[in-house]
Parts: sequence; C-alpha cells; structure tokens
Amino acid sequence: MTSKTFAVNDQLILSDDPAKRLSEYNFFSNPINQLPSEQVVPYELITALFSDYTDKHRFVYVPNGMTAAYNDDEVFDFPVGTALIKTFSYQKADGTELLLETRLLLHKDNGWDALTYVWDMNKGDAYLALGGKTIDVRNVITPSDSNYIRYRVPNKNQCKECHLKNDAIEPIGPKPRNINKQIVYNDDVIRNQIDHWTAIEILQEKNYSNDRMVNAFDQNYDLNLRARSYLDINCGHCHSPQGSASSSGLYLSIDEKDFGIYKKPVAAGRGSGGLSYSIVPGHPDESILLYRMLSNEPDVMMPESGRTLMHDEAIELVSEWITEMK
Amino acid sequence: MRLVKYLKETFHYGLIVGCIAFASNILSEVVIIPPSENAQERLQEALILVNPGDVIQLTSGVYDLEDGLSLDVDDIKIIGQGHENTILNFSDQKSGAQGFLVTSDSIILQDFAVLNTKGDAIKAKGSDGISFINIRTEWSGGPKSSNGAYGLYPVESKDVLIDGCIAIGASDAGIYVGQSENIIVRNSIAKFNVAGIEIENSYYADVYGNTAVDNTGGILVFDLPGLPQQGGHDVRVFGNLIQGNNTDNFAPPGNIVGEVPRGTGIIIMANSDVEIFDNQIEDHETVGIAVVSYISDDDSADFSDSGYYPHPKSIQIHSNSVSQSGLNPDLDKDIASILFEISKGDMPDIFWDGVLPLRQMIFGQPDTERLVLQNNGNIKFAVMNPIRYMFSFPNQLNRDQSEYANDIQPLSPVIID
Repeated sequence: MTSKTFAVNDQLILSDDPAKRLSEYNFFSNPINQLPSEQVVPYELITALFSDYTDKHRFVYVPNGMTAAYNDDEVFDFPVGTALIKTFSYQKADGTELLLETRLLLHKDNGWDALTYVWDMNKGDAYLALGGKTIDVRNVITPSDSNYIRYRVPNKNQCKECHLKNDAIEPIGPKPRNINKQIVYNDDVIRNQIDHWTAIEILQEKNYSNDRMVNAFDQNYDLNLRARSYLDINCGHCHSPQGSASSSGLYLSIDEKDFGIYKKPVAAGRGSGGLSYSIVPGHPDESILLYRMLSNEPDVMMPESGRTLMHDEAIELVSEWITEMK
Repeated sequence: MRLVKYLKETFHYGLIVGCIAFASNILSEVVIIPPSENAQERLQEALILVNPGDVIQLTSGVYDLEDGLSLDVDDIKIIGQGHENTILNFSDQKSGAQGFLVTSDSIILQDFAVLNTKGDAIKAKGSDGISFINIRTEWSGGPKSSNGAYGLYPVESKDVLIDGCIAIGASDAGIYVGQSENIIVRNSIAKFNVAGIEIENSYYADVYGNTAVDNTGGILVFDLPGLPQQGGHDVRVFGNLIQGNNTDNFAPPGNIVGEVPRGTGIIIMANSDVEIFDNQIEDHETVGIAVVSYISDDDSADFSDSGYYPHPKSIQIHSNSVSQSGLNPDLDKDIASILFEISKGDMPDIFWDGVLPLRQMIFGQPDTERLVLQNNGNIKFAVMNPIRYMFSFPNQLNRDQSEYANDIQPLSPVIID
C-alpha cells in the first residue's frame, strides 16, 4: 500500500486562523502511524520532559531553502514558517498505539503560536482543542502502577506557562545541548542529529561538540550531570529569571550556579511541606524540591502542570543526587 | 469577530452576544457565559479567544470548575453579578496551582467570588494595570492549613488596584501584593487569614480604609532577601480598622508567615519609608504594632553581595489609636516570647526590636533613618537593646518614646491612572 505525500501547507502554518483539523497541515503521510511527510524530520531529546510516561513523537519542519541559526546553547533560531510537532501516545495492552494529542509550535510572522489537536482514533484525525481537554486513559502500558490516568491536554494559555521566555512563547526542547545524540532514522541509518540537520541544511553549519546534557537515566554518566540534565528540561524553563517562576528566585537550568541549596521558600504555601529549604545537601527528606516531586496535589506538585503521575525514576535520581551532595 | 464565529460554530446553547461601539469606533464584544455542564471548557475557550477591549460577563449562579482558568489577553474585563451571586466554585479542583491566573495587562476583575481553590485563588503575574473590584476569595471551611496560600495574589505587577474586596481563610495572606510597584489596597475586608493584608518587596503602596479582623496578623509590610525585587519602600498604611487579630497561626510550617504571633496588629519588617497613621488598632493579644529586622536562621548570612538591607529605615508611626495589646501573647513565637521576657509581662502596644547594623547600635542611626513616633495618644512603647539582651546585661528594654517624637515627613499618595 502506498501513501500519497503532499507538501506541508506553508500558508496554514503562518495563518492567524488555526486549522480545525491537524490533517490540514499535511505534516503526515500516514497520520495514525505517525509517518512524516517529506521535509518533516523526526528527532529525539537526550533527556525529555516527563509527561505521565507518554511516548512522544517529535518532528521539526523547516520551510524549503531556509535554515535555523545557532543561538549560543539555547533554542535554535528557527526561521518564520518552522513547525515543531509533538504527538503524545501510549502503547495499549492490545499492542496498538493510542494517540492522545499532537501539539504544534508554529513560528508565525509575529512570533511563535502554540496549538494542540486532540486525536479521534476512529476518524484518523486530530481536532483543535483551544480550551484543553481531560482524557480518561485506561489499560495502557506504563511503568506506573496506576491503571487510570486523568490525562490533561493543556489549554492554549497553559502552553505559555512553560513555553514562556520574557513575554513571548518559545520552544524548549531543540537546543544543541539536548539534541546532540545519535538516532536511527526512517532509512535505518544511525546519524548524529546535529550532523544530520546540518547535512540536510535545516541548520547552519557549526562545529558543535559539547556534551553538556546527558541522558538522566543512563548510569554510565556522572550523577550530578544526570540530575542537572533532568532538572534543566523538566524545570529550567519556568524556573528561570525569564520564565513563569521568575518571582520564586529559584532557578534550575543547567547553567545556574545557585540552584536552591539552603534556599528558603517564598510563596510556596503548602508546597513547602513544612520544610525549610529547597535543597539540604545530604538530606533528601528535608528538601522541598524533592517533596514537591513526590506530590500529586494541585497546590503542591511540581511541575505545576504537565503531569498527573509521579516520575518514580526521577525521584530516585534526585534523591540519590541530594544524598551524595556535600 | 473570531470569538463570535467560533462560539456560534461550536456551541448549541443560547448565547447572547452584543456589540458595543465605543467612541473611538473600536468594536468590542460582550460575551455572556452562564454556568453549565461544560463551564470549564466554555469559559477557558472564551478567555483564550477574546480580543483586547472585550468584556466577559458572568451571570448569577455557581460555576463548578475542576481545573484552573487562565487569561493572557490584554485589556479585558471579567464582570459578574456580585460576589454573593456569581460564584466560581473550585471545591472539586483537580489540577491547577491556582483558580484563576492572569498574565496580561490592563485587566479588570469585578463582582464575582472564587471559592475553595486548592492553591491560590487569583494570581496575576507580570500584569501592568490589574484591578480587583468587589471580588471575594474564600475558603468556606474556616481557617485551615490545607487552605490555599493566597486569596488575591498580584506579583511582579504594576498599577495594582484592590478595591472593595473580601478575603477569607487564606493560609498565608488574604490579600497579598508581592514584588510589585504602584499599588492601592482600599475599602477591603480581610478576615480569618493568617496575614490579612500583606505588602511584600514592593514599591509605592497605599493601604487604606480596610478592615482586618480575626486574622493571625492584621497587616504585614515585609521585605525579604533572595528575590528578584527587593528593597521594599514607600508604603502608607492609614485609616484602617485593625481589630482582634487573635486567630491561631494556621500557616503550613516552613513559611515565613508562620512566624507571625497570634494577636498581631501590624508588623513592619525591613522596608524603608513606611508611614503608619490614623489607624484604629485594638485588642491584639501579642502586640499592636511591631517594627523588626529580618533575622535569618543562618547566623553567617551576609547580604552585602545582594544589596539587601535587613533593617527597617525611616518608619513613621503617628496619629494611631492603639489599645489593649499583649494581654495573652503567643509565646510559641520567638518575637513574642522574647518581648514577653524582656518586658516582664508588661507588653507594649508598639514595639521596635532595635536591631541595626552593629555600628549604628553603638553610635546611633542617621537622623533621616530614625523611627518617628508622634501623637499616638497614651500608647505604651518599648524598644529592645539587642546588645544588652545578647549579653544578658540589665535594662534590655527602653520604654521612653520621647526621643522618637520628631517631625513627620509625609509620603506622597500613590496615583494609578
């Protein structure tokens, strides 16, 4: 069976009127199987945001003939017309894949726009959900014990809670330090992503050989680097002087020299769990940072939005990291 | 017209839409959204699709909401039918760290109530021009540490107006303004919160005509280190009724507001240029007004790098009526137990902890920074001598207020356009 490939709809990416259906963008030649159209490039992150153990299919589309530029070690400077695409899914007990939502970040003339589309598996398409949605998920395979997950598709404003730099929306994942890894492409060839993006000319040429971020759950790497990588991608976008948690004074991106050791809470309310400091070296049980990872209550849990389950593996990682701290 | 088109396409319920042509010929829309089964999605979509200049009207009734709402469009009014009639009920809230989050500018929230949120009730972050008018935030189970921290919570904002509001039951502060500039809190009621009204790390605030009763502490003016905006200054607290704030401190442990003793009228911590006048402050079991420095747990805390100054400067307290203070102090809290000890149980109405940089404690303060006490009637005053206290020397408390009877330099009123 062959599938037709259509060209990605460049005009629609730039339009102020969002498409009602995901298929209108032509990002996929086979949407249910998440097979991308030409020029839609799959990618992976070295360490990813935790989203209730969903699988994520990530793609980048840069319009023909354009390239993204480097911006130090921050998110690439993608040209207007770029689309970042992320589909969230679970493996069901019966072996099929359940698609939940596909989130888009579209670089329009006046900045990035965030939209999400919720899947109707029967119709084989996903539909615009500006107000968000709650999806009751059952019988999916995850490391968690939970059989029921109250999955929250974010509303359009919630996109901006995390994807916020100063007053504007910005992507978070595609930074040199977080994509500098090798993946297997659809032609079964293994390539380094930065090399590949450069080769297909969606990224400017530059000698980038940094290994600043590592897979947080690969025990071959240094514990501190693993923990800082995890905090960078899960917390650093809000917990930055330009992000949603700027008023907290607790900054967690990988470069921060001061990342909460003996820092007192400011406006955490119940979130402090009766504890006195964000991180107490040697004492994970006295550290607010870990306490908030261990909660599911709306006014205590961290991140504030984006998960409903606890990330057990990360809790172990951060706990070990704090224990070993001097 | 996107909002009208979208709503017509999506919803089947009767929905009245009017258009108002303003004098400047800008067509603004008024969207009326009554409570319904899917109030959550309808309200949130409306909040996303509104255009600057639009009005969202809420009707009488109870909106049952499970997730937080958010607004990120400038120049919007959200207006209910009165805080007794239009209720946003978050008793079943499943997600969202607050009930309502505003991150845009020129916003008016008016005439509705936000009840029983899991976290803060209404937060406005980075909002230039945010008005809360006749809004009630309440936790209806009474004072509990499981209640959300703040009722009204503008932070990092400018031109903040809180007028005619009511805040009840917050486990930190009912009305809290943090790291903001140009603030008016007036004609509002704060009761059964830990802190009734709190101005923290902010510049230029007028807090007047309010009633703070039955909180743990009535009105707090704090400046804390380690925050992007610090060095709070130019705060006026005047014409308020601050009475009987004797509720036990129910803040969750670990928060700095947890150190406020039951029975506190006003606390000024650090800050410079604060003027407290024409207030009626009565029946506080620990103290009427306390002026204190920020004391860090960590003895070696050195703020010289950050520029943070932990001591109050240029505090003027005049023409207040302060009575019935200290008859049953909250000895669980350090500040109260130390005061009780050194005053030998004869508690003052107005207390200054006397903590200053060492040099100033020995040689005295610059004149312009000294505490001013004038015309407060027969109040009992006391200032601690921290050096004598530390070394257990005699005369640790000085009750003579005459050296503080200097001229008042009134601060300027806050102006919000």
